[in-house]
Amino acid sequence: MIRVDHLYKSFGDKEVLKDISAVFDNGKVNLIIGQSGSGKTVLLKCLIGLLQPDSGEILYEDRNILTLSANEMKRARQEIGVLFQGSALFDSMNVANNVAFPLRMFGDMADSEIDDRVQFCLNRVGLKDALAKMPSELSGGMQKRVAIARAIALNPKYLFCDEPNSGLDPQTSIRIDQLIDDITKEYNITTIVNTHDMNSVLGIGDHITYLYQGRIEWTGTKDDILQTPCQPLRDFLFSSPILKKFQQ
Amino acid sequence: MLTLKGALTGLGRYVQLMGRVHTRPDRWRMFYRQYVTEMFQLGYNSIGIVLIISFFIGAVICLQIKLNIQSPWMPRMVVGYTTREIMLLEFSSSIMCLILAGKVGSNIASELGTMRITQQIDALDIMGVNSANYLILPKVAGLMTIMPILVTFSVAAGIIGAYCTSFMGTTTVPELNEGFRYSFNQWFFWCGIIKAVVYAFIITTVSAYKGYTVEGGSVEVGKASTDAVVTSSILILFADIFLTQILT
Repeated sequence: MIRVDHLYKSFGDKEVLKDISAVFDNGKVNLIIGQSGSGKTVLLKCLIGLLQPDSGEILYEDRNILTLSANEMKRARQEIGVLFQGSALFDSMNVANNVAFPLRMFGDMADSEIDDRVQFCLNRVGLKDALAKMPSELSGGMQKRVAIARAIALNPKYLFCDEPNSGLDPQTSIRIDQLIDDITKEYNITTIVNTHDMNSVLGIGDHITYLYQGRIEWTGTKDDILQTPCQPLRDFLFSSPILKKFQQ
Repeated sequence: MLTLKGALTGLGRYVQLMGRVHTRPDRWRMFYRQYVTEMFQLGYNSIGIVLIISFFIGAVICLQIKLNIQSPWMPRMVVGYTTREIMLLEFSSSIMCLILAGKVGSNIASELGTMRITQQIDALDIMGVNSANYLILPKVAGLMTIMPILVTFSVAAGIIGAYCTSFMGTTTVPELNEGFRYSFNQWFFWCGIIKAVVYAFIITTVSAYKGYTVEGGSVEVGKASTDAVVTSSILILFADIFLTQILT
């Protein structure tokens, strides 16, 4: 579980996050949604420790990651898997080495065990035949799946996904969403997904947090989001022509 | 005033980055693997250009000395002697490193810059890897190891180039032999090696700093690459003055 208490973050005079408090449970896919510029990415970067908030607390279980020493933070990071918007695969390494990288860097496994684990992770994302391929030889969806395999290689407790569907066709998006959902339930991890994809919202949103102008405007689930009275959220949701038709 | 402030800020950031680079590697096995790869990529792949340029410059220096300096009042071995001293003291160390600053420096800056903008460096940081140490230290160590070998090859290729001019009838092999051996001071060779090691450090660290700290997109990566070459070339020329004064 991750808990955020009274989080503030500004860049110069611009206040990007204003008094953010939320709880993200394990075993659930927690979505953070909102328009571009609403502060989703800044919040995610604060949660994974890439940005230092101005004030507030971020608790992983009962550890405040903002007060951890460098060594403690280094250990805490090994419990985190991140799926970046552009996959962020190391383009000088093939698929197998990308997935094996965290295992070689932090695990105390023998080479044969690493190979087995790589095989397992790639099987899990349906890419067992892509071991020797370079990232540039893969499609966008395959790159995302390799990035998921790399993220789960060390059995993380927390999985963060920054717009996992960007640049993907709807069918591939749904496959990626399903994979994230399955992995979350299977390993009982705390998953936080930053998205503005409506298929994700209605498909895997166990817990949804809507950010509007740097504040949490609404929280709920995929089942009650369409009935929300929150006007900014309704404007956001029904800006898509398909959902507009559905609303009518 | 603003330029001075910018320069001091840049220097401070460079020193901070070097503090992160020059720490104990997380995994020595990974470090050695990267170290060998970098020696191959930065050094071995530069051998061709070093040999070609040094061969022709050695030949041209020999011809120029013969045509413009030698006279009946000078001993005939002056051509070989002057060619050797120029190759040993300046060309093979300083000028060759200026040329390599263009090839290797732009390579390092663009590689790290691309890794930065595609979030590969963020991915390393998130995993708890000291990305500066993992990415930059093997490059620094690799080029500092291979540079003395490149300088030795350069001197040898220059001397061979000078010998080849004897086929054009401008000078004879015995005259060149006498010049190359005349009053040889072994220390001058070591001066070239010391200079080359210092320049290798300048090229890798400055280029790595420019690439690692890129913010933006492909335009900024291109600019960082150009800045890396310009800054390291200027620093090499400055260092040349001091090193020449100190060492000879």
